[in-house]
Amino acid sequence: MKHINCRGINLPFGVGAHVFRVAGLLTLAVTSRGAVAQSMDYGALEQLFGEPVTTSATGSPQRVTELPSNMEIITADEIRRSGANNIPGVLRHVAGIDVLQWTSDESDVGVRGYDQVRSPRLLVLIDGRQVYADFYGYTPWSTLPVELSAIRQIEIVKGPNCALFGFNAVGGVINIITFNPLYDDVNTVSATGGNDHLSQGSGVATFRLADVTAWRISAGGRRNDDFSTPIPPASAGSPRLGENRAAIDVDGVIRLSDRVQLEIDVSHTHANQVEIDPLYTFSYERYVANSARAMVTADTGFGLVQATAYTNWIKDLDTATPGENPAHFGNQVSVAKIQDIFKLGSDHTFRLSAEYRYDHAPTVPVTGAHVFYDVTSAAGMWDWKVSQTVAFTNALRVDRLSLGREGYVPANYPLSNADWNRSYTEASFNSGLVWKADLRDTVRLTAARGVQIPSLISVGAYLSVDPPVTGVPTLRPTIVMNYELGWDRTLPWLGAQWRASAFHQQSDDLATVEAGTISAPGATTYFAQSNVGSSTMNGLELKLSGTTAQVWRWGMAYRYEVIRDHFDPIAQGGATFLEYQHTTPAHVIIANLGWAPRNWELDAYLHYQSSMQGLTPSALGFGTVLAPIDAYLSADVRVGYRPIQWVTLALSGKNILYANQRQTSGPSVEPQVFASATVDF
Amino acid sequence: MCDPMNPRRFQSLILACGLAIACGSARAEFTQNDLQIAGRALGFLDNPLSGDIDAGIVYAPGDPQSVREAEALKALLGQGLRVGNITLKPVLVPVADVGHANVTILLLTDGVTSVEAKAVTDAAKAKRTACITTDLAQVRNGVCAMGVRAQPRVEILVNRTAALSTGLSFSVVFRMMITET
Repeated sequence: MKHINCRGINLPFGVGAHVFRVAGLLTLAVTSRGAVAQSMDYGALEQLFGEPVTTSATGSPQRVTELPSNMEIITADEIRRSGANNIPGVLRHVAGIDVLQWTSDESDVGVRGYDQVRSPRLLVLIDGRQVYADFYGYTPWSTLPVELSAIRQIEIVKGPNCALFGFNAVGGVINIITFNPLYDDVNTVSATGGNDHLSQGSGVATFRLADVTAWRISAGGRRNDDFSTPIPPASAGSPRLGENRAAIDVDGVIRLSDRVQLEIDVSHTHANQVEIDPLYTFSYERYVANSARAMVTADTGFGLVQATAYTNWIKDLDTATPGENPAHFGNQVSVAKIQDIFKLGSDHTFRLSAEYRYDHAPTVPVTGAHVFYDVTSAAGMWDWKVSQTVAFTNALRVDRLSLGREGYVPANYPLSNADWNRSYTEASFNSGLVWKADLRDTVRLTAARGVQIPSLISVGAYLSVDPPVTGVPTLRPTIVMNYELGWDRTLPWLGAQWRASAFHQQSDDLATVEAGTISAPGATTYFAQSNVGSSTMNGLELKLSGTTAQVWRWGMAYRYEVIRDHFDPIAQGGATFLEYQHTTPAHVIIANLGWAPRNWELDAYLHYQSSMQGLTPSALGFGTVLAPIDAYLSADVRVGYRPIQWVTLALSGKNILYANQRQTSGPSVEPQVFASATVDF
Repeated sequence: MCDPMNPRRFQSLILACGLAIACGSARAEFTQNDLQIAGRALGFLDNPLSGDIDAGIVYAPGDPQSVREAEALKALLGQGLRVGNITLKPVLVPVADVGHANVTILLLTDGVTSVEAKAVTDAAKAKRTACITTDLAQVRNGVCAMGVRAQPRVEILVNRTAALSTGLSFSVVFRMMITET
């Protein structure tokens, strides 16, 4: 978003009111100071330093070339020229990002492999507000209440960043930063039409009142059909109904004083789409997602203080099996957070924060109970400029999670509500040593520990009596350790930037569905979630990108990665819906070339990946097996033309090389071609 | 390729190195990009400047290089260079007159001696005026409060003591993204 990103303070309803009171007091405390206001004006800072800026690495504002972590930033211009009409379509052009497109509207996104159906390892946020859905532990991209034209930049952190963002940021973080209506005038409408009966409209408008308050309204809708390529018989489930999405977001900033800003953001999204569910069966999902957030930012004598509170609601009507009653999944998360970023002396920057989170979900398909947890957290960050060439950053966060369950307990169930009365404390950290060897070279050494907690479904929100399947409270969180050595070099003679990274990652206590059982004397034995082992990853990324003669831009990247799973025998070979070793391609190459003479923009993107395998339901009726997926080369293109300054006409194509191409273990993807007209006003 | 042990080539190498060092320590004149950075940085003051700003170009009349640089800087600013919310209007200020100059900021050129620099420092303190230079050493020495450099990458250096004494106070966000000394 705009200001300093934070993932708000998260609280249950009563706590939310308390946090707002605290924020009010904070406001009163600082309004007595005169002068001017400064939240994070991304545009002004980017103009000043000549490069993107971010807060997603440490919480402190930083230039992208000085980060103690590996981050990619996709700018608004790159988003527009990607030709994509949704966020996964943008991300598929980014080095180190894996996108599995299952259907026309559903994709799973991973960082450096470890991508699977409903990938839980990537934490996604909009302006610091989590849009990752905790109940299943994944991101339903169509429910994100953001239009592409409202996005200033997409920030992608590779590797764990739990010390800043908390649980589940173990594979990486994507923080989508929208334009700030107080600083950025964005007014645009667009209409798109394409094959598969695609019709799409989007609009963003910004309103300002006397430099005191500014509001941005963005809204969009899309309707299209799914691919027509055959669904593998083993994955057959719901019929392919039409896919659609409608979203609206209202974001306002009020200047309470020269030094204090209040931001309010509310959103609503409605999305219906064909998906592949965690059992690799096709289902038709109907989502409704809402959110409300308030954040106060104050530039005080004791630092930049932010108090944030938000609540997300999401409902997911799963119609996986025709003839059966649909399952009504739901989830509400409330977060409250306060943080202070301050500088001591000339060389030390600190961030201190505290957070509370309440998360709950009703049991499904057996109703009448709900599972919940609350999390209290404390975190700190210290960025030390050791010398003019060396910076050392350390961040530590401690979370204490308390689990609970209330409500109906089925007969002969092997667990009681008291079994959920448990808690654990986990620490996560991020350390980074950055050495600017000279004006062109930067070397970065990082180490991180991340914690992925089991989803609410995994710890008991899923409860079926027939067949007897349940989540259990005894699942242990997955711990991810990551080590990385990076080298960046600017090549002025080529107008280019070189980046190389070598990384090692260890994931322990990975969990999967229905890999174990739970029983008690006199009770029915239930299939249950279970921790099944560990996985090790080693890899290398090389990237060269640049611009030439101002009208050409180009880039190429290569990733080599080897994953070794060390699973219990029952889970080996992809038998229980979890497999990384064979489902991550060893070699991935991406390349792009863009040309923008006068009023034209031409961009092409290539993606090659070596052969791999994918999970698909077993013919035995239980579990999964590995299916081969050949190496493939895909291409996306966009041609844009501006007949006049404020009008853009564009023709985009995705996966245009073949009539159908197998990229996952699901149906083959088809070319998607669409034309759009955009008017800026 | 050359043989580094060849005496004549070795002498040439030494000469080249000497020139390179001399170039490396050459005067850091303001460029258009430096001025853009300086102007934008002033937008992050707690009390940001706006509108027309008289920018005093401080130079040493006895130093032809300093005079030349001052004239070049004046030409860069022209009738007024708009940067963000401010327009920088040039005013030539001989260093001996800096204490009497009625300007909002000082742009310090090279060629000002250490003795003359003291006058600049005193004037900046007395009039609570921002002193800006592209010679980062002058910032470390406390002569100027802020140094800017556009190439090869943007650098902004603020001397906290000098900034405090001249009433310059920047936003928290800005302070975290620059180098302070």
